[in-house]
Amino acid sequence: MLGLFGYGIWLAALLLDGIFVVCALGRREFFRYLPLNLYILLCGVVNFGLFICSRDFGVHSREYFYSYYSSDIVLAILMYVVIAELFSRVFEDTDFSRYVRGAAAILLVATALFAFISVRSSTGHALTTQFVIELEQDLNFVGVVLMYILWGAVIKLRERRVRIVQVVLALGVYFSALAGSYALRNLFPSLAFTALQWLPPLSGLWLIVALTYTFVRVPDDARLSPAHTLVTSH
Amino acid sequence: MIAALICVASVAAFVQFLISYCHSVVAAFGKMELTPRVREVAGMGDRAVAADDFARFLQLLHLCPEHNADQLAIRAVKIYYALLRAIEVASRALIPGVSAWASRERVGCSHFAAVALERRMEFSRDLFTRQASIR
Repeated sequence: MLGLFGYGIWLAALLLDGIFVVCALGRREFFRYLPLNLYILLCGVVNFGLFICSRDFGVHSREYFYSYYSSDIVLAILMYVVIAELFSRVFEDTDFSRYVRGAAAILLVATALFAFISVRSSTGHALTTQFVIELEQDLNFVGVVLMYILWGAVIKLRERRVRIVQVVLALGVYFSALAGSYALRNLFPSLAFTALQWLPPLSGLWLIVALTYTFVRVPDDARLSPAHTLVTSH
Repeated sequence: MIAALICVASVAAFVQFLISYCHSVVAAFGKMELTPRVREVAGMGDRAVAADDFARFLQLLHLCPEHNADQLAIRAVKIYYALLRAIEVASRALIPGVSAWASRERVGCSHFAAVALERRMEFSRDLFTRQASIR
Protein backbone atom coordinates (compact mmCIF):
# COMPACT_ATOMS: atom_id res chain seq x y z
CA MET A 1 0.00 0.00 0.00
CA LEU A 2 1.12 3.56 -0.65
CA GLY A 3 0.18 5.08 2.74
CA LEU A 4 -1.57 8.38 3.39
CA PHE A 5 1.28 10.55 2.10
CA GLY A 6 1.66 8.46 -1.05
CA TYR A 7 -2.06 8.58 -1.79
CA GLY A 8 -2.07 12.34 -1.12
CA ILE A 9 0.66 12.93 -3.71
CA TRP A 10 -1.01 10.57 -6.16
CA LEU A 11 -4.43 12.20 -5.80
CA ALA A 12 -3.07 15.77 -6.01
CA ALA A 13 -1.05 14.92 -9.13
CA LEU A 14 -4.02 13.19 -10.77
CA LEU A 15 -6.35 16.12 -10.03
CA LEU A 16 -3.86 18.68 -11.33
CA ASP A 17 -3.24 16.59 -14.48
CA GLY A 18 -6.98 16.70 -15.10
CA ILE A 19 -7.27 20.44 -14.36
CA PHE A 20 -4.34 21.22 -16.65
CA VAL A 21 -5.79 19.31 -19.63
CA VAL A 22 -9.36 20.60 -19.08
CA CYS A 23 -8.07 24.20 -18.84
CA ALA A 24 -6.02 23.72 -22.02
CA LEU A 25 -9.11 22.40 -23.84
CA GLY A 26 -11.30 25.18 -22.39
CA ARG A 27 -8.87 27.87 -23.52
CA ARG A 28 -8.38 26.22 -26.93
CA GLU A 29 -4.67 25.83 -26.19
CA PHE A 30 -4.51 22.04 -26.34
CA PHE A 31 -3.14 21.87 -29.87
CA ARG A 32 -0.98 24.97 -29.49
CA TYR A 33 1.05 23.15 -26.82
CA LEU A 34 0.30 19.63 -28.10
CA PRO A 35 3.39 17.69 -26.86
CA LEU A 36 3.11 19.19 -23.36
CA ASN A 37 -0.63 18.50 -23.15
CA LEU A 38 -0.15 14.94 -24.42
CA TYR A 39 2.59 14.46 -21.84
CA ILE A 40 0.35 15.66 -18.99
CA LEU A 41 -2.55 13.55 -20.29
CA LEU A 42 -0.31 10.48 -20.40
CA CYS A 43 0.96 11.29 -16.88
CA GLY A 44 -2.63 11.19 -15.67
CA VAL A 45 -3.29 7.86 -17.40
CA VAL A 46 -0.04 6.40 -16.02
CA ASN A 47 -0.84 7.66 -12.50
CA PHE A 48 -4.24 6.01 -12.65
CA GLY A 49 -2.79 2.77 -14.05
CA LEU A 50 -0.12 2.66 -11.34
CA PHE A 51 -2.77 3.13 -8.68
CA ILE A 52 -4.70 0.12 -10.02
CA CYS A 53 -1.44 -1.86 -10.19
CA SER A 54 -0.46 -0.94 -6.61
CA ARG A 55 -3.93 -1.86 -5.37
CA ASP A 56 -3.93 -5.25 -7.13
CA PHE A 57 -0.31 -6.31 -6.68
CA GLY A 58 1.21 -4.00 -4.01
CA VAL A 59 3.99 -1.42 -4.43
CA HIS A 60 6.78 -3.91 -3.73
CA SER A 61 5.63 -6.40 -6.36
CA ARG A 62 7.49 -7.26 -9.55
CA GLU A 63 4.43 -6.15 -11.59
CA TYR A 64 4.46 -2.69 -10.01
CA PHE A 65 8.22 -2.40 -10.51
CA TYR A 66 7.95 -3.14 -14.25
CA SER A 67 4.87 -0.94 -14.70
CA TYR A 68 6.47 1.97 -12.81
CA TYR A 69 9.80 2.01 -14.59
CA SER A 70 8.59 1.10 -18.08
CA SER A 71 5.91 3.83 -17.95
CA ASP A 72 8.45 6.26 -16.49
CA ILE A 73 10.88 5.64 -19.34
CA VAL A 74 8.07 6.10 -21.91
CA LEU A 75 7.18 9.39 -20.17
CA ALA A 76 10.85 10.41 -20.17
CA ILE A 77 11.02 9.82 -23.93
CA LEU A 78 7.83 11.86 -24.46
CA MET A 79 9.39 14.56 -22.27
CA TYR A 80 12.26 14.74 -24.77
CA VAL A 81 9.67 15.57 -27.44
CA VAL A 82 8.34 18.35 -25.17
CA ILE A 83 11.89 19.66 -24.73
CA ALA A 84 12.53 19.47 -28.49
CA GLU A 85 9.37 21.54 -29.02
CA LEU A 86 10.57 24.07 -26.43
CA PHE A 87 13.89 24.31 -28.27
CA SER A 88 11.96 24.86 -31.53
CA ARG A 89 9.99 27.70 -29.92
CA VAL A 90 13.05 29.38 -28.45
CA PHE A 91 15.08 28.99 -31.65
CA GLU A 92 12.18 29.60 -34.07
CA ASP A 93 13.70 32.80 -35.43
CA THR A 94 17.15 31.29 -35.97
CA ASP A 95 18.60 28.78 -38.46
CA PHE A 96 19.13 26.27 -35.66
CA SER A 97 15.43 25.32 -35.35
CA ARG A 98 15.45 22.70 -38.16
CA TYR A 99 18.19 20.65 -36.46
CA VAL A 100 16.58 20.57 -33.02
CA ARG A 101 14.43 17.42 -33.31
CA GLY A 102 17.19 15.36 -34.93
CA ALA A 103 19.68 16.44 -32.30
CA ALA A 104 17.26 15.54 -29.47
CA ALA A 105 16.65 12.05 -30.96
CA ILE A 106 20.38 11.38 -31.32
CA LEU A 107 20.99 12.54 -27.76
CA LEU A 108 18.25 10.27 -26.38
CA VAL A 109 19.57 7.16 -28.19
CA ALA A 110 23.15 7.98 -27.17
CA THR A 111 22.15 8.35 -23.49
CA ALA A 112 20.23 5.05 -23.46
CA LEU A 113 23.20 3.29 -25.08
CA PHE A 114 25.62 4.85 -22.59
CA ALA A 115 23.52 3.66 -19.65
CA PHE A 116 23.16 0.17 -21.13
CA ILE A 117 26.90 -0.19 -21.81
CA SER A 118 27.82 1.08 -18.33
CA VAL A 119 25.49 -1.48 -16.71
CA ARG A 120 26.71 -4.30 -18.98
CA SER A 121 30.30 -3.56 -18.04
CA SER A 122 29.52 -3.85 -14.31
CA THR A 123 29.43 -7.33 -12.76
CA GLY A 124 26.81 -6.57 -10.10
CA HIS A 125 23.61 -8.54 -9.66
CA ALA A 126 20.02 -7.23 -9.77
CA LEU A 127 20.80 -5.99 -13.26
CA THR A 128 17.31 -4.79 -14.07
CA THR A 129 16.97 -2.57 -11.00
CA GLN A 130 20.43 -1.14 -11.49
CA PHE A 131 19.81 -0.59 -15.19
CA VAL A 132 16.60 1.37 -14.69
CA ILE A 133 18.05 3.46 -11.87
CA GLU A 134 21.09 4.28 -13.99
CA LEU A 135 19.00 4.93 -17.09
CA GLU A 136 16.71 7.24 -15.10
CA GLN A 137 19.72 9.03 -13.60
CA ASP A 138 21.31 9.52 -17.03
CA LEU A 139 18.10 10.47 -18.84
CA ASN A 140 17.27 13.02 -16.18
CA PHE A 141 20.78 14.41 -16.09
CA VAL A 142 20.68 14.85 -19.87
CA GLY A 143 17.43 16.71 -19.18
CA VAL A 144 19.31 18.98 -16.74
CA VAL A 145 22.00 19.65 -19.36
CA LEU A 146 19.36 20.36 -22.03
CA MET A 147 17.56 22.73 -19.67
CA TYR A 148 20.82 24.53 -18.96
CA ILE A 149 21.42 24.93 -22.70
CA LEU A 150 17.85 26.13 -23.15
CA TRP A 151 18.12 28.53 -20.20
CA GLY A 152 21.35 29.90 -21.68
CA ALA A 153 19.57 30.35 -25.02
CA VAL A 154 16.62 32.06 -23.30
CA ILE A 155 19.02 34.60 -21.75
CA LYS A 156 21.20 34.99 -24.87
CA LEU A 157 18.25 35.37 -27.28
CA ARG A 158 16.43 37.62 -24.78
CA GLU A 159 13.37 35.39 -24.73
CA ARG A 160 10.53 37.45 -23.25
CA ARG A 161 7.58 35.04 -23.26
CA VAL A 162 6.82 34.45 -19.57
CA ARG A 163 5.28 31.03 -20.19
CA ILE A 164 8.35 29.76 -22.04
CA VAL A 165 10.71 31.11 -19.36
CA GLN A 166 8.70 29.61 -16.49
CA VAL A 167 8.25 26.23 -18.23
CA VAL A 168 12.02 26.01 -18.89
CA LEU A 169 12.83 26.82 -15.25
CA ALA A 170 10.16 24.49 -13.83
CA LEU A 171 11.54 21.67 -16.00
CA GLY A 172 15.05 22.54 -14.82
CA VAL A 173 13.97 22.15 -11.18
CA TYR A 174 12.17 18.90 -12.04
CA PHE A 175 15.06 17.28 -13.89
CA SER A 176 17.72 18.34 -11.40
CA ALA A 177 15.66 17.00 -8.45
CA LEU A 178 15.11 13.71 -10.28
CA ALA A 179 18.70 13.32 -11.47
CA GLY A 180 19.98 14.10 -7.97
CA SER A 181 17.64 11.61 -6.28
CA TYR A 182 18.46 8.79 -8.73
CA ALA A 183 22.18 9.55 -8.42
CA LEU A 184 21.85 9.26 -4.62
CA ARG A 185 20.00 5.95 -5.01
CA ASN A 186 22.73 4.79 -7.36
CA LEU A 187 25.41 5.79 -4.83
CA PHE A 188 23.59 4.44 -1.77
CA PRO A 189 21.21 1.60 -2.78
CA SER A 190 20.31 1.06 0.90
CA LEU A 191 18.55 4.46 0.88
CA ALA A 192 16.07 3.32 -1.80
CA PHE A 193 13.19 2.87 0.65
CA THR A 194 13.85 5.89 2.87
CA ALA A 195 12.63 9.46 2.31
CA LEU A 196 14.47 9.29 -1.02
CA GLN A 197 11.66 7.17 -2.51
CA TRP A 198 9.33 10.20 -2.28
CA LEU A 199 11.56 12.53 -4.29
CA PRO A 200 10.49 11.32 -7.78
CA PRO A 201 6.72 11.60 -7.04
CA LEU A 202 7.28 14.95 -5.29
CA SER A 203 9.25 16.18 -8.32
CA GLY A 204 6.37 15.10 -10.55
CA LEU A 205 3.94 16.96 -8.28
CA TRP A 206 6.15 20.07 -8.37
CA LEU A 207 6.15 19.97 -12.19
CA ILE A 208 2.39 19.74 -12.56
CA VAL A 209 1.83 22.44 -9.88
CA ALA A 210 4.30 24.81 -11.60
CA LEU A 211 2.91 24.11 -15.08
CA THR A 212 -0.70 24.54 -13.92
CA TYR A 213 0.23 27.84 -12.26
CA THR A 214 1.98 29.06 -15.42
CA PHE A 215 -0.73 28.07 -17.88
CA VAL A 216 -3.70 29.06 -15.71
CA ARG A 217 -2.34 32.30 -14.21
CA VAL A 218 0.02 33.66 -16.88
CA PRO A 219 -1.60 34.90 -20.11
CA ASP A 220 -0.14 33.57 -23.35
CA ASP A 221 0.92 37.07 -24.40
CA ALA A 222 2.63 38.06 -21.12
CA ARG A 223 6.16 39.28 -21.77
CA LEU A 224 9.20 39.87 -19.57
CA SER A 225 11.32 42.97 -19.98
CA PRO A 226 14.79 42.46 -21.49
CA ALA A 227 16.21 42.68 -17.98
CA HIS A 228 13.90 39.82 -16.86
CA THR A 229 12.62 41.93 -14.03
CA LEU A 230 9.43 43.40 -15.42
CA VAL A 231 6.38 42.03 -17.15
CA THR A 232 3.50 43.43 -19.12
CA SER A 233 0.30 41.74 -20.05
CA HIS A 234 -1.46 43.09 -23.14
CA MET B 1 32.28 8.43 -9.53
CA ILE B 2 29.91 9.47 -12.35
CA ALA B 3 26.92 9.18 -10.00
CA ALA B 4 28.67 11.39 -7.42
CA LEU B 5 29.42 14.03 -10.07
CA ILE B 6 25.83 13.91 -11.34
CA CYS B 7 24.57 14.25 -7.77
CA VAL B 8 26.69 17.34 -7.02
CA ALA B 9 25.91 18.97 -10.39
CA SER B 10 22.19 18.24 -9.98
CA VAL B 11 22.03 19.81 -6.52
CA ALA B 12 23.80 22.94 -7.81
CA ALA B 13 21.46 23.08 -10.83
CA PHE B 14 18.41 22.54 -8.60
CA VAL B 15 19.25 25.54 -6.40
CA GLN B 16 19.95 27.75 -9.42
CA PHE B 17 16.79 26.76 -11.33
CA LEU B 18 14.62 27.11 -8.21
CA ILE B 19 15.92 30.61 -7.44
CA SER B 20 15.48 31.64 -11.09
CA TYR B 21 11.95 30.22 -11.13
CA CYS B 22 10.96 32.11 -7.97
CA HIS B 23 12.56 35.23 -9.43
CA SER B 24 10.48 34.87 -12.61
CA VAL B 25 7.26 34.52 -10.55
CA VAL B 26 8.10 37.61 -8.46
CA ALA B 27 9.30 39.57 -11.52
CA ALA B 28 5.91 39.06 -13.15
CA PHE B 29 4.47 41.52 -10.62
CA GLY B 30 7.36 44.00 -10.71
CA LYS B 31 5.99 46.51 -13.18
CA MET B 32 2.57 46.88 -11.58
CA GLU B 33 2.26 50.25 -9.89
CA LEU B 34 0.76 50.37 -6.40
CA THR B 35 -2.41 52.40 -6.01
CA PRO B 36 -2.69 55.19 -3.38
CA ARG B 37 -5.26 53.01 -1.55
CA VAL B 38 -2.73 50.22 -0.87
CA ARG B 39 -0.08 52.77 0.12
CA GLU B 40 -2.53 54.31 2.54
CA VAL B 41 -3.61 50.96 4.04
CA ALA B 42 0.03 49.91 4.50
CA GLY B 43 0.98 53.34 5.88
CA MET B 44 3.73 53.77 3.30
CA GLY B 45 3.12 57.35 2.23
CA ASP B 46 5.14 58.19 -0.88
CA ARG B 47 8.18 56.08 -0.14
CA ALA B 48 9.18 53.07 -2.26
CA VAL B 49 8.46 49.49 -1.17
CA ALA B 50 11.22 48.20 1.13
CA ALA B 51 12.52 44.67 1.67
CA ASP B 52 11.23 44.56 5.26
CA ASP B 53 7.68 45.56 4.26
CA PHE B 54 6.93 41.95 3.31
CA ALA B 55 5.77 40.89 6.79
CA ARG B 56 3.39 43.86 7.09
CA PHE B 57 1.85 43.18 3.68
CA LEU B 58 1.38 39.54 4.66
CA GLN B 59 -0.38 40.54 7.90
CA LEU B 60 -2.72 42.79 5.92
CA LEU B 61 -3.28 40.00 3.38
CA HIS B 62 -4.49 37.72 6.16
CA LEU B 63 -7.12 40.31 7.12
CA CYS B 64 -8.74 40.09 3.68
CA PRO B 65 -11.01 37.19 2.64
CA GLU B 66 -8.97 34.42 1.05
CA HIS B 67 -8.81 34.26 -2.70
CA ASN B 68 -7.90 30.76 -3.87
CA ALA B 69 -6.27 31.96 -7.07
CA ASP B 70 -3.27 33.57 -5.34
CA GLN B 71 -2.78 31.23 -2.35
CA LEU B 72 -0.22 29.00 -4.04
CA ALA B 73 1.91 31.86 -5.37
CA ILE B 74 1.87 33.63 -1.98
CA ARG B 75 3.05 30.47 -0.20
CA ALA B 76 5.82 29.95 -2.76
CA VAL B 77 6.99 33.56 -2.42
CA LYS B 78 6.92 33.27 1.39
CA ILE B 79 9.34 30.33 1.17
CA TYR B 80 11.47 32.21 -1.36
CA TYR B 81 11.55 35.28 0.92
CA ALA B 82 12.69 33.18 3.91
CA LEU B 83 15.40 31.60 1.75
CA LEU B 84 16.57 35.03 0.58
CA ARG B 85 16.68 36.32 4.13
CA ALA B 86 18.85 33.39 5.17
CA ILE B 87 21.16 33.96 2.17
CA GLU B 88 21.38 37.69 2.94
CA VAL B 89 22.33 37.14 6.59
CA ALA B 90 24.77 34.31 5.82
CA SER B 91 26.58 36.15 3.03
CA ARG B 92 26.65 39.68 4.55
CA ALA B 93 30.17 39.41 5.93
CA LEU B 94 31.69 37.04 3.36
CA ILE B 95 30.12 37.95 -0.02
CA PRO B 96 28.52 41.42 0.14
CA GLY B 97 27.50 41.23 -3.54
CA VAL B 98 25.29 38.19 -2.91
CA SER B 99 23.85 39.86 0.18
CA ALA B 100 22.94 42.96 -1.86
CA TRP B 101 21.33 40.78 -4.55
CA ALA B 102 19.24 38.93 -1.91
CA SER B 103 18.14 42.28 -0.49
CA ARG B 104 17.01 43.48 -3.96
CA GLU B 105 15.12 40.24 -4.46
CA ARG B 106 13.39 40.73 -1.10
CA VAL B 107 12.17 44.12 -2.34
CA GLY B 108 10.65 42.26 -5.30
CA CYS B 109 8.92 39.86 -2.87
CA SER B 110 7.50 42.81 -0.91
CA HIS B 111 6.22 44.35 -4.13
CA PHE B 112 4.63 41.00 -5.02
CA ALA B 113 2.87 40.92 -1.61
CA ALA B 114 1.68 44.51 -2.10
CA VAL B 115 0.17 43.66 -5.50
CA ALA B 116 -1.45 40.54 -4.00
CA LEU B 117 -2.91 42.73 -1.23
CA GLU B 118 -4.28 45.13 -3.82
CA ARG B 119 -5.93 42.28 -5.71
CA ARG B 120 -7.46 40.89 -2.53
CA MET B 121 -8.80 44.32 -1.57
CA GLU B 122 -10.33 44.60 -5.03
CA PHE B 123 -11.80 41.10 -4.67
CA SER B 124 -13.26 41.99 -1.24
CA ARG B 125 -14.75 45.20 -2.63
CA ASP B 126 -16.40 43.29 -5.52
CA LEU B 127 -17.72 40.71 -3.08
CA PHE B 128 -19.17 43.42 -0.84
CA THR B 129 -20.78 45.21 -3.82
CA ARG B 130 -22.35 41.98 -5.05
CA GLN B 131 -23.73 41.12 -1.61
CA ALA B 132 -25.08 44.65 -1.19
CA SER B 133 -26.86 44.43 -4.56
CA ILE B 134 -28.44 41.08 -3.61
CA ARG B 135 -29.90 42.61 -0.41
